[in-house]
Amino acid sequence: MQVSRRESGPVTVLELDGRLDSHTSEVLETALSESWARGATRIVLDCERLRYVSSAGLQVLLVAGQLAESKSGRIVFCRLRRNLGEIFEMTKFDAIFSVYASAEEALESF
Amino acid sequence: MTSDPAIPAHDHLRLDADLAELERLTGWLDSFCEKHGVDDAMHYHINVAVEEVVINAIKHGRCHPQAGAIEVNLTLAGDELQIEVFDTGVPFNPLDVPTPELDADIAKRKIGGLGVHLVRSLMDRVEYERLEGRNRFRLTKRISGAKDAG
Repeated sequence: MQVSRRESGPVTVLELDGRLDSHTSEVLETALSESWARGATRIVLDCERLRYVSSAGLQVLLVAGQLAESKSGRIVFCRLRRNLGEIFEMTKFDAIFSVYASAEEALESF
Repeated sequence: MTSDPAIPAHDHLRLDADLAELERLTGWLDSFCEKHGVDDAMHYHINVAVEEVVINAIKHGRCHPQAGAIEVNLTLAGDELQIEVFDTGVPFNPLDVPTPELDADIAKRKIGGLGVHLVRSLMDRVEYERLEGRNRFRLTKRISGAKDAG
């Protein structure tokens, strides 16, 4: 699991690459903690290269979404692969998070 | 690869109750699915379900000793995959875990129960029994993408 960060104006974009599972979810937790520490509250998670998410990963995403909301911010997703989209539907994450087809649309949503 | 759908394909893996074993489990599942032509979507479902069951034993099972505490068997017969997971952890029946509240607002969503919910959603059948001091999970999945079982 690799996470790379870039800034687009007031929005932080985290590009996720690899597997988000019980063994690797700490990597995303750390990246999110660093983003909060830098004052980020508007975050796009670009999932183009995220090929796997298990419940351990979903838990990190949920906690992050709750934390963003408590800071009057928001986390949105873009470019979810089909398999991940299915997991989002099964867990109704698609009802609590906005998912966009492109990074541009995700950025424009703020 | 020679193949005969009438002959079930079987594979077996023993794991320590250690989070670092997840990589080995994943590689083994990848090999099995690739060898037997299981399509990406089914492969994904299998991977998530097996990870959830195994991780639960590792994190919450208090398996002692940790070495070799978890055993996973895969049997592909025709288009049906049977996944059997044994662990030496404390008794745990996932069927007793209530479905998490999925319709709540984000602030009220709970993080617990998602793993068991995924296992139930992704598999066609989930069975549990306590057998000779071990938890035994039997998960069944219809594999539409499997080329054969040999």
